[in-house]
Amino acid sequence: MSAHVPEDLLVAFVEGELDESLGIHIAEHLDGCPACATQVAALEPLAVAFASVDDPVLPIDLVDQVLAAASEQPAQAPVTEVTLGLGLLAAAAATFALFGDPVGSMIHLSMVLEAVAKMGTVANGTVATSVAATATAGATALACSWAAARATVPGWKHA
Amino acid sequence: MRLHDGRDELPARIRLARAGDAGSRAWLVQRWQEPVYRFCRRMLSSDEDALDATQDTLVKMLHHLEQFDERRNFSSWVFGIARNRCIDEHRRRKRRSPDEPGEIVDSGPSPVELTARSQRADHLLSALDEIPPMYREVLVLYHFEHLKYGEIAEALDLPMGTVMNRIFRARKKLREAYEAMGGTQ
Repeated sequence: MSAHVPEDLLVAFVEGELDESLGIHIAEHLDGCPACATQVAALEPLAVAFASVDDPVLPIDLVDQVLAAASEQPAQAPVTEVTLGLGLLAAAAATFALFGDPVGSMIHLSMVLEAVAKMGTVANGTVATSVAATATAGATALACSWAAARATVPGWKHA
Repeated sequence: MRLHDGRDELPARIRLARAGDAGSRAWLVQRWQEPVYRFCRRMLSSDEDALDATQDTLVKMLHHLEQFDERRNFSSWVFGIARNRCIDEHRRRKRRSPDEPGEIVDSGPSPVELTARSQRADHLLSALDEIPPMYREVLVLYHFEHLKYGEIAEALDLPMGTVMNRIFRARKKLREAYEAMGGTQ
């Protein structure tokens, strides 16, 4: 769609009356056509009200604070690594609880701790697969509780 | 500061900041602090929470610069971080007071004190506070931060069609809330 969009189509677009494929074509056109985008903005029924809203003003300059905080705080490990690490620890505890074998559990636990210490290399498969089966139960339980905790704002989720 | 200012400079600044250049890190924070604050302030309706969320977002932006994919839109990526931080703040509020509304709404000036323009603005902002955050965020990004449909889709990690439909529904909900408050177009 290279030419400008006819006004009746833009009106229907603003009202949400077009089918999705045509609507997407028009949205893509608007992203690259300031003239049509301006026309759409004027058609929006609350355009005057939106234009009357002043921008909130940042009360303080945050540059120094942010730079200081960024240099103080180490970057956090990605959530997937932390979750996997917790899952592995839970699995070690579960192994001990289920089998009650102190020697076997110690072996598993030492593998787990080594895996957690080398968290960055977990994804490369250096952890023995024997841990993986026992990790599943713990990781699943943690994932379920984590998912439940995330679902407290209906319909609004992390991207 | 609007985001199209200095757009040409951005790729080089990102690369320099990744390499640890202090000036470029400061440049990125300087450039994004106002848009991120505006977004957080409109999503959280509280100066203090918005300031905390802005600072956290910008610190995270610097920490995770290495993970930014240069084929993506940087604004979308930063607003995506801010959005996740706002979602976390809403969850925290709900945990703090589960029986109370999650929003903190400013008590504005009385209607007598308001001019027609500020009355409209006040009604619009109150109506925005009334609609669910998933609808509020698309309107804030589209109407106040002037992101394109494609950029919003990237920031929210949603297909274009979903963003479009969400904006339509959001406008409808906003209009209903606005009119219920006595707002005029």
